[in-house]
Amino acid sequence: MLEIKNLTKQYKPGKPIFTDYTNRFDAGKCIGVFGPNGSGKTTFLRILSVNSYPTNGTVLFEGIDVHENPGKFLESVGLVHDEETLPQHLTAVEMLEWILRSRKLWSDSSADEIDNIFDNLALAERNEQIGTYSTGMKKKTQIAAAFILKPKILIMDEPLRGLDQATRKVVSEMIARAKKENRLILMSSHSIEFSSELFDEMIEFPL
Amino acid sequence: MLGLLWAGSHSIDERVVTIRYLLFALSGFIAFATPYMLFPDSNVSSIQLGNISGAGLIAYLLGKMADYYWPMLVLFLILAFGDIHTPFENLVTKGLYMIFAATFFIGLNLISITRYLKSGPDSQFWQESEKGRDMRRKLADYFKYPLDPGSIPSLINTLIITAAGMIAIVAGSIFYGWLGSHYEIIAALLILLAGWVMIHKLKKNPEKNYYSTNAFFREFFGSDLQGDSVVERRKVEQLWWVPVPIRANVWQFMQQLDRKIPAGRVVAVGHFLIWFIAYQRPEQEFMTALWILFALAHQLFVMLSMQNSMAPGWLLRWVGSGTNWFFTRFWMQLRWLVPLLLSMNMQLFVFGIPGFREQFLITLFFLISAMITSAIGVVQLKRDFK
Repeated sequence: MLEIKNLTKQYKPGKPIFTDYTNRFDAGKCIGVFGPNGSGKTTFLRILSVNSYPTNGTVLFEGIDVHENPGKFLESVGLVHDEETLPQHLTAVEMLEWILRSRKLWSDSSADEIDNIFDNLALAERNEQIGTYSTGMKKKTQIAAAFILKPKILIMDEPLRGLDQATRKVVSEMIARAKKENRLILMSSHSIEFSSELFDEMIEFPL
Repeated sequence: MLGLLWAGSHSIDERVVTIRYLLFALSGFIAFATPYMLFPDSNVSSIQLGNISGAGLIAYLLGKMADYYWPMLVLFLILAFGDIHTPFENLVTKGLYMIFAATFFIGLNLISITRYLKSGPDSQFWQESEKGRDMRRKLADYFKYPLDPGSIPSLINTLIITAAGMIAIVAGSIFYGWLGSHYEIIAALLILLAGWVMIHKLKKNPEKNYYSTNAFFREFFGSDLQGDSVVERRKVEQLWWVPVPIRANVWQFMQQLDRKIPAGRVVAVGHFLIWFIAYQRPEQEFMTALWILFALAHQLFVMLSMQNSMAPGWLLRWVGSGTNWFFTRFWMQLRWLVPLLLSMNMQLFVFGIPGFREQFLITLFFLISAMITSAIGVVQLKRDFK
């Protein structure tokens, strides 16, 4: 499903973050990305989500080079980004409505689906502007936006960071369900107890 | 180019009047726009980390304003010296009016920065105190107007700064009449002196003012519209004039912009100012240039939509392509086109200007500048890779 060929990334000449990395990930798998701060986990996930371009190498999704056809690839991706910046003058409900409509996925049941996902994530302030949210509330909004699309691939950078214990459990269940629905999940995490249960493969950084 | 088009063929007297009118309009703009440009400051974390204080903090704020305003100083230069027919005549007078405009502009900005920088504690008092709550209740009961009491000090500042600027322009023209053209600069020097004294007084302890005002505006802009209390929730379907593929994108931008700034009211004030100036019956070229300037000013909304807090790059790339965002921003701007055309045609009916040829030119400027700013948004999106 997602094929990485000879991936190299360096921000400065002669100082590569990783070199010649090759791997293949199939649908229905959950891939964990681990490593200490600054080891290149976020850079790796940013490249996979086309928010950064590789120095060398390619990332293929169903045979298509994702960096050559970002629009087509991103149609199949749900994203929890490392940045917590979200449009601060929209409400969480409006942000999800916008994303669903722009993907042509809006239907009569969408409003209920949005309510359900925020009920699960216990985001009571869903109709207030995102600019008033705490870090954890923004993370919940990002997670909801990624999952509501039911994408083929979920790329999540530290999705559990900043969440309380109860919500972490809910998100873990959502990830398990997505895996059963044959979606590919790539996520970084520091949570050891979480890792052993769900991950089919772990990539340890630095590579 | 705008300066040349505006005043390229003006005589020295017309040039002076043009500069006065421009400064007149700018007085209102400076008074209104300063808090939006300064607060809430996205660099506050860095300021705290570096513990920048005293003169350094003032220099930072002035630099922030200079980033926005340096093109205006270039415009003054061109308005004064951009003379197509007699470029080497009246050089002293031209130089004096260039200095007049720059001095006035810098002075009024200093006044505006100082007043708004000091407004935090008062604004917080009105926003959070019992007295403020009573005021909100009275305004709601008697005037049916949803004014937040926390915005009262800003409203007063807007009025004072606008009045100070406009009075100085009128006083300058009186000096001109009494003593001759070279003495008009006295009014601008007085404004600069007032601004310099005010900012100099502030240098002793600007940190407290900066942190309290920044905190107030962050809370004010953040919590002002909780629960959609002021701006009603617009439905996507209401945007029938937007093509379906970009309708949701336009909707979310409009939703955000109208919550961040009362865009409709700002544009209405712009129209009002132009009508006020048109009432003075200035030259046709002057009015055309003013309309063009106004058409260009509409694109500030597109610039606002490029802020990371409104349009995070990663999210925009995830949701749509560069082409998609180009058309989104361009189409969003079309909502101002009908009021612009209506206002111009009403003015043509009442005052006989601007003619259809001028209207075509103004509309062209509006559309091309909307395209250029939308394209800048796409370039910014593509450059935003880490």
